[in-house]
Amino acid sequence: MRGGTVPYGMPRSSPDRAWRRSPLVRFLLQRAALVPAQLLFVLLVLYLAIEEPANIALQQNLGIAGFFRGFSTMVVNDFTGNWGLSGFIQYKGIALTQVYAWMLPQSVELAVFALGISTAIAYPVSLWSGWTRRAGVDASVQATSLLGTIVPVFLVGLPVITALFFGFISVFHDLPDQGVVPTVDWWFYYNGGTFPSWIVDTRFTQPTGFPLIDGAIHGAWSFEVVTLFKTLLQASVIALVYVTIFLRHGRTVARAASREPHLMAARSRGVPERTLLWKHTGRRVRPTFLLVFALTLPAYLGTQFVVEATFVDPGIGFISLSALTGFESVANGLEGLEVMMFLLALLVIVWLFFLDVAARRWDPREVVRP
Amino acid sequence: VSAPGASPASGPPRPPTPVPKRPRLRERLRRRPLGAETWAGLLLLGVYAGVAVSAIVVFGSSLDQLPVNDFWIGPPPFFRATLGPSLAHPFGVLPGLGTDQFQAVWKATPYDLAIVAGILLFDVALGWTLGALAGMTEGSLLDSTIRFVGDAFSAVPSFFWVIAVLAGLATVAPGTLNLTVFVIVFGFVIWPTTARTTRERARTVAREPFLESARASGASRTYIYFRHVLPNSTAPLLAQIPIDIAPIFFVLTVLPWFWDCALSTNHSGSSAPVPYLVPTNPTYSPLPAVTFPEWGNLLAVGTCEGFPLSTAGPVFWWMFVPTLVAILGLGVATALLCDGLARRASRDAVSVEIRRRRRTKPRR
Repeated sequence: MRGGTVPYGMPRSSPDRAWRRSPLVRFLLQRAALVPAQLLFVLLVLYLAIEEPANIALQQNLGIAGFFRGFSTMVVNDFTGNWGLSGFIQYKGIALTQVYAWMLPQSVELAVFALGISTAIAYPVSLWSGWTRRAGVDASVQATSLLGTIVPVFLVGLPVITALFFGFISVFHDLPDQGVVPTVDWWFYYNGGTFPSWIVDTRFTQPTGFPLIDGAIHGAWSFEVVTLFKTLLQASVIALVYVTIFLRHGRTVARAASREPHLMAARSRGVPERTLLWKHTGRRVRPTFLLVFALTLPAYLGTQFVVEATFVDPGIGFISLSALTGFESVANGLEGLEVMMFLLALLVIVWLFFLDVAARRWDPREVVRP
Repeated sequence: VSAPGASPASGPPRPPTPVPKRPRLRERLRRRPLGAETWAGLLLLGVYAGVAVSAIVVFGSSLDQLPVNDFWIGPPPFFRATLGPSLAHPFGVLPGLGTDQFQAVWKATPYDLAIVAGILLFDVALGWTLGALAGMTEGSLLDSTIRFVGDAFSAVPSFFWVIAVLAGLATVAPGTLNLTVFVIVFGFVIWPTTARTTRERARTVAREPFLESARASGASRTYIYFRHVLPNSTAPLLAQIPIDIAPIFFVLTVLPWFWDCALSTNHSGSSAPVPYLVPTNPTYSPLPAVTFPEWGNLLAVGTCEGFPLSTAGPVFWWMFVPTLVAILGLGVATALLCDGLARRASRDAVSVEIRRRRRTKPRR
């Protein structure tokens, strides 16, 4: 019997197959309980690292009762969106929730494109490099992945900007390295310097906040073209760096999968090599690749943050690096840094949960076949 | 020879079999050569160590300060092109800090080697031991606890944890921010990835037949852990060590670059463009001063000066290439050494397997 407690031949309507017996449901219950526990643990460490020193400095919330009061207040504030005010120069005094609501959509839109391009490159390259037995390929993959990991991301983005700078200006009449949406200069060129009513603060769009969707809603097709190219440019730089990080892990997974006995059996039956690679091995490594992505998600986020900063995007990357350098957080009593870390932990832990569920559903070894 | 039919126990006691002496290092290297990859890695690391020692000897007490020449700070653009590599300044001049790059990179070598070695030491000590322990006790409370803590820590990028702790320390005791604290904190937050990969290997090792026989012959859990599980779980560790160098230089490079270059302000509250770069330390920087010799800081300032943002002006390659080569060289040397050692270990495993098969091969 594979992957479950249901014996062969058991009818589906059998009372023995209660929903609780399902391995998937059991797994969901166990893993779902871990999500809030891990989040609380992260918040506890954050409280000890950031809030408690501030409490000591301000002589407040001291003692055990004070500790629990302060920690519970922080947890409630984080989960209810009571994040305080922004200390960032352009948005000083504005609620952090509002600043995040403006900046998050642009980062999410960029991530969608970057992850799409990364998947389109990383999946076939990792699979093929794990499959092939040529020593040259092996050495070049290792060297590429190592260099891609160590070279700072901005040193990949800056040559791209320099190479495309004047060409981009002559074609699109806009700067390639100033955010995702067209700059003030572009609006002068196309619209006499006046912004349409759906552009907020020269760089955010309404009503959804996703520039490409908002441009399409308002039928601004020239805006769409410039925004799409700028997004693709940034997404390509992110993909270029992230693929090298992914490749190191993805290749190992593909190599292990390519040595499994069922492939030998299929080969002996005369199945072509191409089918063995893309169908048999591909299906086998897909769930593991998802887990590798989960493992490298923090590295991906770091890459996107730096690319956003290199291209001066008003996105989450800019806020987080501002918080990390102390540019925002000092004015904000470290709340900006704490909120940013809470949101990252929330994103990664929930994402890991969904990836675990998806990997379990897609893994051919987990499927019960009566 | 005992008589036929006699019990072996009835004969005279046999002398104990002498335990063979462990061969000396030279003999062991002769039997199991290191391989070209490992030697290349060792040679490169030896060069780095030699450069570090020579810097300590040559510069002595002035090692922690870059040689600053005010004449080179903030020059007009046409003057920059004259600051390139020459006989007097083989790596050129870095105008932001007003320093000779050759001396700067040389002086920074002992500090950067110490930073990387210290962090990797913590990483290996925690990640390897905890990961192997978790793998050996798979499914136990200890395993669950290690995995839980590791997963929670790795939910946030390591550089966020480091800066959060440094920011907290800066609130209570600003004087405690230094490189030693940075190394300790970084070492404590970087271990989960190493532990996770080591755990997977230790799980496999713990199910091997030779461990079953060790248990059956009465070996204690501590003995099995130190003698069998830990030494046999080094392969993922060796693969992980070169990767762990990347986040160290990520923090040391990206944060000063963002602070000095991407923020486009002079840190006085206004966003007016600066006439020329006057580098300062980010608020939570572990470096004591911006003139402290450290590769990451040098690369950040060099990129900011040599590869200006949003202008696509001339690129002054010498301002960032020497430091970048130094960082990459360290990564490559570590990777060569680790890959060579991992390959040697796997070669040994294969040769042991071949010997075992030869022994068990039926004779014709």
